[in-house]
Amino acid sequence: MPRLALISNLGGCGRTSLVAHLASAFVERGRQVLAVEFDPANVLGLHLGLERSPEAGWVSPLLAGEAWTEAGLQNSEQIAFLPFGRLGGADLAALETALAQDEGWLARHLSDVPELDNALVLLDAPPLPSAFARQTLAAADFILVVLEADGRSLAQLPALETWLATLAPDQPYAVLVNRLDSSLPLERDFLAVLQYRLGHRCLPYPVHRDEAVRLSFACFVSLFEAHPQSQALHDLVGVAGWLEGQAALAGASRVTP
Amino acid sequence: MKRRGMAWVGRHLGVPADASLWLWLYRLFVLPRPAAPDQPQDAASRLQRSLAPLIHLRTRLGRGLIWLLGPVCRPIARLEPRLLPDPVALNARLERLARAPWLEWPLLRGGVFAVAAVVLWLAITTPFTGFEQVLFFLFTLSLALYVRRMPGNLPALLLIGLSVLVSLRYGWWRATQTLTLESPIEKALGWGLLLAEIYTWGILILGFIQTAWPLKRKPVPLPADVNQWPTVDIFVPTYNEPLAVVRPTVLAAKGLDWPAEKLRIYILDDGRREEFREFAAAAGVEYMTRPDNFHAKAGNLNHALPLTHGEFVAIFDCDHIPNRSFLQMTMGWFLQDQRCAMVQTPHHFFSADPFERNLGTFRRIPNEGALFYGLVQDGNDFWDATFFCGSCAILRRGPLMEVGGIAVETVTEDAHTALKLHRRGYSTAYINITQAAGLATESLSGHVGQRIRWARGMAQIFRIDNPFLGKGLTFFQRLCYSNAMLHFFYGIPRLVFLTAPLSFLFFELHIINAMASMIALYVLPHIVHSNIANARIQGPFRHTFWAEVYESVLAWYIALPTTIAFINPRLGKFNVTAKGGLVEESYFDWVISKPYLILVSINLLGFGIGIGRMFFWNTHEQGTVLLNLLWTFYNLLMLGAAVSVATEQRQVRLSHRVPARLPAMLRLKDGRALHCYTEDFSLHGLGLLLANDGIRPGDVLKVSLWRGPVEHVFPARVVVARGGNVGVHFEGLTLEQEAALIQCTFARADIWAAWNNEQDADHPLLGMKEIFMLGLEGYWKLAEHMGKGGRERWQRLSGRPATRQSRA
Ligand SMILES: Nc1ncnc2c1ncn2[C@@H]1O[C@H](COP(=O)(O)OP(=O)(O)O)[C@@H](O)[C@H]1O
Ligand SMILES: [Mg+2]
Repeated sequence: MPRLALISNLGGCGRTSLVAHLASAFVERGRQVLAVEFDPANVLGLHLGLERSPEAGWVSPLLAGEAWTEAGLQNSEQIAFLPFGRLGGADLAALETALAQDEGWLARHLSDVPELDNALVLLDAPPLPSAFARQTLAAADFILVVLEADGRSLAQLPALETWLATLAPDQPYAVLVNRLDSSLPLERDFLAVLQYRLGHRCLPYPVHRDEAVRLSFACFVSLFEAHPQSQALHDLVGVAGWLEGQAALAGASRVTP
Repeated sequence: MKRRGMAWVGRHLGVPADASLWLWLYRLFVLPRPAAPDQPQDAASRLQRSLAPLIHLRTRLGRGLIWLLGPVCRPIARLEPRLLPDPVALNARLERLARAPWLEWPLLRGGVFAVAAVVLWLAITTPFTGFEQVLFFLFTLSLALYVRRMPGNLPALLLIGLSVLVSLRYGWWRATQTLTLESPIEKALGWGLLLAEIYTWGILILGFIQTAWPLKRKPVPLPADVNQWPTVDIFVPTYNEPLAVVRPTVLAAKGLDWPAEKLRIYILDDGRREEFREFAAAAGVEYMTRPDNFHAKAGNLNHALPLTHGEFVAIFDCDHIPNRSFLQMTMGWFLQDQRCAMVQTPHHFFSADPFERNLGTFRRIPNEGALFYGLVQDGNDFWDATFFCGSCAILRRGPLMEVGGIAVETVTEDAHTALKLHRRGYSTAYINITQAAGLATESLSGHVGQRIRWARGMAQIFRIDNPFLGKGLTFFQRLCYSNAMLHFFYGIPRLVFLTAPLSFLFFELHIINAMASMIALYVLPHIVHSNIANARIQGPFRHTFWAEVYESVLAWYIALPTTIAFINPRLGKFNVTAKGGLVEESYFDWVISKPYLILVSINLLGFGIGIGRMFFWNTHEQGTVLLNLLWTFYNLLMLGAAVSVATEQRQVRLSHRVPARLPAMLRLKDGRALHCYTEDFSLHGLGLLLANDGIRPGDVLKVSLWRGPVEHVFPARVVVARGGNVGVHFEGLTLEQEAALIQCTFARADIWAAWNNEQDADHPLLGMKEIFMLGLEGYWKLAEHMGKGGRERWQRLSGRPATRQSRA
């Protein structure tokens, strides 16, 4: 099961939304998908159609040594997902220490998930430099870095580059610009600068800012069903197609040390 | 069955059924003398007698057809593959044979040519009886119909050969058997008709030579090292065209894929307009004027030549918007071939010309220019005789300066410049990939004016710098140029054909001394074979019969100018065609169609008289009458088409829409972004395919289009929103946005590539029907407008205002 991690060093740039909609896009393309939330925010479920964040998730049973894969849910689009669940303060602290000691914690546990044929695992995490994000970095076969076409992204680009430099040299990744409002000249300029600075590492096609994304979130509906004409959807389908063409996401997951 | 067949053949060969084999063989070559006809007795028997050959022919042909098409046809069709080799395989074998090394032996070659010449001579000059001629025709026809199914260029040459053979046979017969004419007037007219026919045979054969082997040259890639790419000047000459027409061209030229420091764009403004100067400054291009307007466009270009320095000069008429790939497609050949002095690309029009608009054939039937740019130029290229066409072309500066710049002696400076280059031993090239597009001439009068200029210019070159004479040209270059020039002299011959039958119908003059049936037997193969050959080589570029339509419509207008230019090449003036006009309401152009109305009237009159002579008076030569009636009927159809073209159809849009499916995005006020595709684009707006999602007319929004991966955004307002369509109009574009718009639309590299994909295929028989309908429609429209005109006059007389502006 190849794993795709969406990470960023910015908050609120659309990682969780992208995980949910990319999952839909892959399902549309006939691929099995498992979305794994590794973020105490516990909101991925809302993006996937739940009207309330679930209490139970996969982390607390795991910490308690129970059968944690039972926490998996499936939505009407046949997207399987593991919600993070609500975690008490003490548990969270325990988890954080565990993560700090063991970089491969997530990767190891993910290999325990029952095998789904050729399914793709999408990983959602809080922004870097949180320990959660570093775990997903270590667990991923392919990393999709999410940025925005704004000054924030540009200002933090050096920091991001530092993070990327810590990756294994053969670790494939790409940068995706989300929420582009191309009608604003400033955003177009930022996009051009980012593309220039990142070169071929930047996907040539960004995902546009589209109110349909927020509307579908607000109404607990799938972007594909409610807004088939939306540009964001079109962009996401393109991104999903591009990702499918990446060798790292074609076969089974890398063996984690 | 078999016995009946033998009896039928026997009867025609004059052999009794039980005759010996020797008589059969003898009769295959020598026919018995026909019995002398006795004098006709009364009207009825006279009628029968004179119609007899025709009736005879008709029944025979009819039976032959039934025999061909009937149930017997099927077993034959099944047998055919066993009897005849598969045409595709045969063609492969033929092509291998054509490349055989022993064919190169000079002795063998000479021998083959000698034998072929003798056979050809026999086939052309041997006189046949009617029946023999029928047999001959059936033989050549079945051969042609079989060869037609073979793919490739060699069979096309065979078809051409057959057509030439049959036409020459007809010509020989015409010249030797049909010219014993009685009165001087008949002699004069008869010879006149023969000359007109000789002209058409000549043009037919020249055309065959010109297009025998279209080169279909591919672009040569440029070296990877950009430093080796030469410097290029782009000239955009303009005189009186509005700035709105010139802007897209200049902005597109700015976006050409070429290093910016090696590309300079010049607006050459013969109108000396401040507005243009300002635009040039804003757009960052050069602006040039001159104190006088001598020699029109040629003079304008020549003025700029010494003041500029690029190694190459590309010329775009001010309304030809270049594709970004123009230089990439054309420059390679210059770098590969140092003698190459000019590369021409097609002239493409994204608006309908008056023929297309008024006949409703836009993008359905190849237009008048399609033959030239689709085939003739590719054919010329094979003989290294590609003509320069004044626009969408690029020239090497050195050779151009060597011949003294653009030629100014004639009104078709372009063709003449190429001729001069060829005389100096330079070569030219044609790349048949549309790399620029513009607006077609709007009105028939404009179109006619332009064709008159071409025709005059060609006649001038023919007189001043005749391609047959002078040095420097290869034999085939001479032929190609001659055809280009001579074919503009079709005016008078065409008028001769449009009126020839009238001399008989009105005055009973006999200008061809032959039986009507014989004429038919000789003309028919000529027409059928030249159409088969042309359908094969010209199929996608000119449909059967359409040459006749185009020529018939223009014949009158160009007849006089070509004649005058031929007599005195220096008379007359250069006229610039107006573009970007608007036909607010459909109207009939009475002024321009006057000669055709006269032709229609006298042909109708002649037709009436012919009907009378067929049935009521003077009914002693119905065969001839019938033939002339058919001819007149055909002429009337052609004239009907001409009249139809003169009915200017309403044209509401100033900006023409180009159908294209491009990805687009709408950003709405409420923050949503909708993905969609364009249905068409124009300089002013887009037609979008989009399930209407709460979009209303009047909404203000942003539209995105892409040029490669780069997105460009344009402010726009919704003008239509219904069903699955949304139409938007751009609003307040800045100059940059305007340039980006051109780059995203008209200047795309592949935007014109699929233009002809939806064109109808050429079906000669369907085409015939279509021409028939077109002709009839012309009369219908004429009747309508006559009614309208009458009403108007009545209104004017009774003091009420006319509903329509009349135009002169
Ligand atoms: N392409 C987009 N267009 C418009 N809104 C978007 C887009 N992508 C994300 N959003 C919105 O941005 C907000 C933050 O997204 P979220 O996925 O929670 O970001 P993150 O997980 O990176 O914190 C949400 O309201 C989401 O609906
Ligand atoms: Mg999130």
